[in-house]
Amino acid sequence: MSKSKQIDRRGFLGDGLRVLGVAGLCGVGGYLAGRRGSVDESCWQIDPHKCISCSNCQTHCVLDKSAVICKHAFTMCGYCELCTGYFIPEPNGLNTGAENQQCPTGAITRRFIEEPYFEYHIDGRLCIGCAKCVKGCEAFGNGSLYLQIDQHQCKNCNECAIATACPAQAIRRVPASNPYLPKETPLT
Amino acid sequence: MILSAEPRRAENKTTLFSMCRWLTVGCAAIVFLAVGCSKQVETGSTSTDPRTAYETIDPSRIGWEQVAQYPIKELDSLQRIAVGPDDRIYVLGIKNRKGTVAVIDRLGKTKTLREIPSTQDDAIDLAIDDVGKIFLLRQKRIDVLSETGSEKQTEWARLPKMGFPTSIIYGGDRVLVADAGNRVIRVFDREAAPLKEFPAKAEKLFVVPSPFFDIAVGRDGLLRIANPGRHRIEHFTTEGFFHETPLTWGRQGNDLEGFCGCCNPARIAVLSDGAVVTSEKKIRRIKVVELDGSLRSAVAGPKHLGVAGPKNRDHTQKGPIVFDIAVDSTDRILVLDPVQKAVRVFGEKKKTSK
Repeated sequence: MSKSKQIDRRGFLGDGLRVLGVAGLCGVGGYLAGRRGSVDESCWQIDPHKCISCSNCQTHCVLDKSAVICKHAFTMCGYCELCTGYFIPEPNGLNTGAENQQCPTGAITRRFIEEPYFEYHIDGRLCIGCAKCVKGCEAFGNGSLYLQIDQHQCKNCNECAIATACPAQAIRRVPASNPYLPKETPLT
Repeated sequence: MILSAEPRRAENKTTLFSMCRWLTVGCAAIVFLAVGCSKQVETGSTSTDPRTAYETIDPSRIGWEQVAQYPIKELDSLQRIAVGPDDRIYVLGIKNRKGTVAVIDRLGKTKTLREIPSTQDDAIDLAIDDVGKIFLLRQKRIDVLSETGSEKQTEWARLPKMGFPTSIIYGGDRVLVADAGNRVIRVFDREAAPLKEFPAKAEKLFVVPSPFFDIAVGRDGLLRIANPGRHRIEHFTTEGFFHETPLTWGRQGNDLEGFCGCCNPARIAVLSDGAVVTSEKKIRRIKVVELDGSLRSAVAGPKHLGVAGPKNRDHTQKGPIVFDIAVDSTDRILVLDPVQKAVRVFGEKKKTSK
């Protein structure tokens, strides 16, 4: 007849503390490892303050449709009736006629807010990163349109083809935890 | 056989010299390539600028010529210009990250620049009254400085917290401040008492897409307000009453007759005959427009101002390059050049009889 092992209170508490200690150490180790891993991970992104909107992004990306798309810094936008990112320099009229638009794919939608303000939205699925709107906005307007690499499309190649082709060295590695470089800066 | 150490030492010396020579050549080549590459990026040779087509002005339409230039080396950057009594030129700029006012003598020969290093880096604009008192517009208040700058800078009036003041002028015994945030003009009397604020918010008369909302008063006592989003110049009395004659005029357009881009003119000044001098951003050009809105002549274009071409693109963080303007008592146009850090003086070309 085997006699069951007796566990006294002190032994039980000691075992419990040991188990908790090991679990805690594992947790801390796992947290640190995970944190370190996320810091080390990086991705490609365009610095909008260096970008010269040369349109190389449209053609040099290895994807059929470039991973570069236009973004809109709404805080910098003037909500102009005549948006120089939306309209060609001398449009026939301030309407949504295709002949008046900068965008070759109709990726920018123009929505009336109140007289005389209009809001402009970029459809990232249609945008091909040609930078025509960016150039127009930069040349005549507030510069609120800018290019960014869409992380949902980007393959994060070891050697980014558009980074190699960029004449302004505007593309660099950024932490994957903070993958975008927004342009929202106060105007002076 | 024992070899002498001398030939070996000489050989080593020669090798070392040779290595140094090649190292120097290599370094020079790398520096040369790096400079070349950076130049290519600076000029943006692979990028075209949509403004290029509008940067050339027909010489026959330029009715002004530069007659003087006063460099301002004492300031790190230049912001605004105003003219005081005896045609002294006052320039607001930044020095050592602090707003600073510099004063240039009428002749400009003595270059007696006097700095008043007491303002903060939120200094926006300045106006001078008829006795030389300097009104300094800041984010939340207006300060006054004595003509010499020797007296302590004091707060003159408070401005609303939610505003975004952009311009201040003195005229008709009033001090007027343009507030781009609220799209209103605030009027103060000489004792800093707020008299009026116009137009009423519901009117939505002014459209200000970017922080450029300038005002100027002429010798006729009429207030000119640049309405940049509508590309127009509006005329008001300094009491805030809309003045229909002379006409309110202006239109959008990249041609010389129009105001370019989303929001222009950025700066205005008034000649003695009531014609308005306008300065545009983006296509940086200065021109004179008659009372009825017809173009009299161009003063200077991007090429004359030395800012043509893609290498002179606006710095996205510092904001666009803007040439502030003022007019002195003899109708010379003073252009504050923030790129060359100088005041350029333009006089009207004498008409030659054929």
